[in-house]
Amino acid sequence: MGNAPLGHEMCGHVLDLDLSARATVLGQEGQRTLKLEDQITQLFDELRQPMRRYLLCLNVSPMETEEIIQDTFLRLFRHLHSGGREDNLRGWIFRVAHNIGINELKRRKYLGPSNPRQGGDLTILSIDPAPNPEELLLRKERMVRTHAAISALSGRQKQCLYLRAEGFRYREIAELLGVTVSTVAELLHRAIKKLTKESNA
Amino acid sequence: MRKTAESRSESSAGNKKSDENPHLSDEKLLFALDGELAAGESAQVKSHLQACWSCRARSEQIEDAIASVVEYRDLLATSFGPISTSGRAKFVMQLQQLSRSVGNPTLKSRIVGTLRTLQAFSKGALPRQAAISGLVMATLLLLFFARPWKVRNVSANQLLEKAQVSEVRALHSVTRPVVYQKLSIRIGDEAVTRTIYRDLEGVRQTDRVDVSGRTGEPSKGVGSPAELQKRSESMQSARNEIEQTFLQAHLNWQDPLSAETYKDWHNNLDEKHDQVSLTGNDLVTLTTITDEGPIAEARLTFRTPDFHQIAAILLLHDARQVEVTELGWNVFPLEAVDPAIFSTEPMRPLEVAHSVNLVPPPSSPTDAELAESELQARIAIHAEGADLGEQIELDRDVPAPRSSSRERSVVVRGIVSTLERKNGLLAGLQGIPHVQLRLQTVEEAATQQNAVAADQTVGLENQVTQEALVLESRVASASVEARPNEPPASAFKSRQALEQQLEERYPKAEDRSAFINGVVELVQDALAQAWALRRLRDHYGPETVAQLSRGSRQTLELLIRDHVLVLRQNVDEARDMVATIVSPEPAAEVPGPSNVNASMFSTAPVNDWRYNVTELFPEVQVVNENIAALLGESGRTTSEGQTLVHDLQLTLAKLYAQLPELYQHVSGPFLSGL
Repeated sequence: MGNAPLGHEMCGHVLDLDLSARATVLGQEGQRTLKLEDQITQLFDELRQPMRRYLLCLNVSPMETEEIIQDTFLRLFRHLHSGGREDNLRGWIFRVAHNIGINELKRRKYLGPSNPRQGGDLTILSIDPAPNPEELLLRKERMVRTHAAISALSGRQKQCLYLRAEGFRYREIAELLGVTVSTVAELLHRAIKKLTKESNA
Repeated sequence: MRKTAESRSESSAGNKKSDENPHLSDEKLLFALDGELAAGESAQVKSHLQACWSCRARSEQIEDAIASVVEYRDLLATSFGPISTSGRAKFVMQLQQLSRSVGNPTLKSRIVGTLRTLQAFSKGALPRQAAISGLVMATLLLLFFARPWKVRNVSANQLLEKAQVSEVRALHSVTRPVVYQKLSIRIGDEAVTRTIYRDLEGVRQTDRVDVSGRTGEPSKGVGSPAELQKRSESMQSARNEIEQTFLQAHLNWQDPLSAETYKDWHNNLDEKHDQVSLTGNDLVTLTTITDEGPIAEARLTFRTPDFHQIAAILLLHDARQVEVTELGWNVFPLEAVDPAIFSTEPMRPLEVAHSVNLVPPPSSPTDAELAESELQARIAIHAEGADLGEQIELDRDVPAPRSSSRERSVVVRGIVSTLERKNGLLAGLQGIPHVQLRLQTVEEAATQQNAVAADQTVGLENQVTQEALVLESRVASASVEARPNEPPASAFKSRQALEQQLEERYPKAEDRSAFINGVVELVQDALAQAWALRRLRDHYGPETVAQLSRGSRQTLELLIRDHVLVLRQNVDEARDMVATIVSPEPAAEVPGPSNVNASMFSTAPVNDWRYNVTELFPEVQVVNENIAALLGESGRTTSEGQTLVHDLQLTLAKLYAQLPELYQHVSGPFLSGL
């Protein structure tokens, strides 16, 4: 969290525009009912779950995940408060969180893995009172296969896959990861190819 | 389908759009699914898919793969438990702080900002609309992916019950269990390591608390004493607060990971949200979120092999967090533990073997306290297996004649066969408050009876003894004592038929007798269980149950359940064994036998375990008697043997049908949930 340049004239108001997808009230009624903090909090509530999911999938620890999410939104506040503009807030937020997360992971490499779950086998609850045990078994098998297949993917492939799963378009993913759209397409195509092959194996 | 996929991937390589290979590439299918194709291309793909089943199949494969990824992601994310509610509060606080520190926008900037907004609004209406629709699309996509892939839930109570059962099982694996537990408790930045030895029967506990560093490393004696002192003080105050919180939430500081107290807390909440998720390597986490009470969210983690709880996280509404992690847990027999670790003597030393209560209870107990003590004593007796027909009686409120104290108490009196048995029971019963023990061996009883013949208590004991002896003799010898309204039951013919059957099945004499002994033992044990249940029925009427605390009710539930379970197993097994030697005769075709109580035919389901027990007991008796008559040594014989077999089969079939019902009754919180 570096010292972000603090506010000058434009603080925050452009935000209404960008957030209008969510809070259309603002622009149209000309009413400034929502303060910047509230808007950020709203966004936080909305994106917290998907961000957490994404970061956990990247193998960031749950505790770090929580911190990264908070950090990201505080940065967003500073960014917008100091007049920064953003067309794609969701993309911006994920990009920042992604970058902090990846840095954390690099840092952690020297300290050894702290997230043992990801490495191990994923077992489905045996006590699940499923009405249909057959279905459960199939699901379990499918998840084990998926786990194996995903584990074999490259970091970039995983990132693309999970970002796509969060509903981002290729263009957004490319921007987020700092690669070209065709790279994203290629990465995703190969990842899915591996996955379909695995599920047919 | 598999074959198609292969043949396609061979052929698709190289030619993308050529007419020779009209099939679509995987890439294109994926892009189409992801909505990344231009409108024209997308329409082409769509029409091709409508016509080409092979591409459609591949497209579905890709969809399946995507769905699996989403499902896997959700599974992975949920395995870390749900998102914490305290995180939000913390964030909002930080945000407000930050907002305050950077100051509010000035009036001028507001006006400028509004102007800019209006300008941008009029100019940028179109792209914004696109942005909105994009967002909606993305959300829809997400919904589409996420919809069918939810992790299934186990009920919180199921999980907690499993944990309780597993604990009771572990505790019963040794006599006089001492539970060793090492916990790391973290409150905010402070952490302590607690080493607890819990002598369950002596009701004593040592609790060594080591203040750990912020890193969680134990730092006994390391660091300056003053600092340590300060830390331990701040820890102490935090601990007191947490203890208070535990109390408010009806949780147990003495046993912070207790499934029972969690259950109590949980079941007392009106509004709550539960989630059970698997946490990777054989761990399940139960998360309860609520707005009631001081605890906003609690997570209890179990390991799946034995459902032992190993960690708990409590998030309080004031954004504090308490983490309890178990570092070690074990059950030792008392002998294996250095007694010096307990600062106090067990509440009732073993030497109190002699029927007199040496340590008077500190204060006059209330009815409720007596009820609890009594239940504890019952549990202890049950743990020793001494509630199955042995001559042990519990009385309440009888003033102890030979004791100096006139306090009210629960008196456990009885006569047991050997000194060993007596000591075992005393060990099991020691330490339960307000309990007086007056157990004697047969020998002791005999001598004492001569010595103090005038003593009233002995008279009482005799009465108890006789009553119990009747039962004992019934259980032990499976006597064929007929009930008053029964026709003289006998079994000569059927015995002959049976003996033939038996000989066919078990040509060897020892196999035969092993079989007979097996059946007789089973039904005797069943009778003993039914008898114990009946005693519980007599004792725990609604008023008595009402006196019990919630925890005690749950204990009572476990006790009843235990008996019912064994009874059910015994009956099932006995029925199977009987079926092997008696020609199968569907019970339904047999007319109702005269010797069965009419009340038993009232099929109206009465929703009370006591009613079920009342119904069951005579039936188990009939089974026991008939088995004894058919297989036992007693040689009473007449012509009505066939009736005996019928009765037996009918009664067994009825029991077989009734017991699951009873079991169902007693398997929920049927007392504590009232």
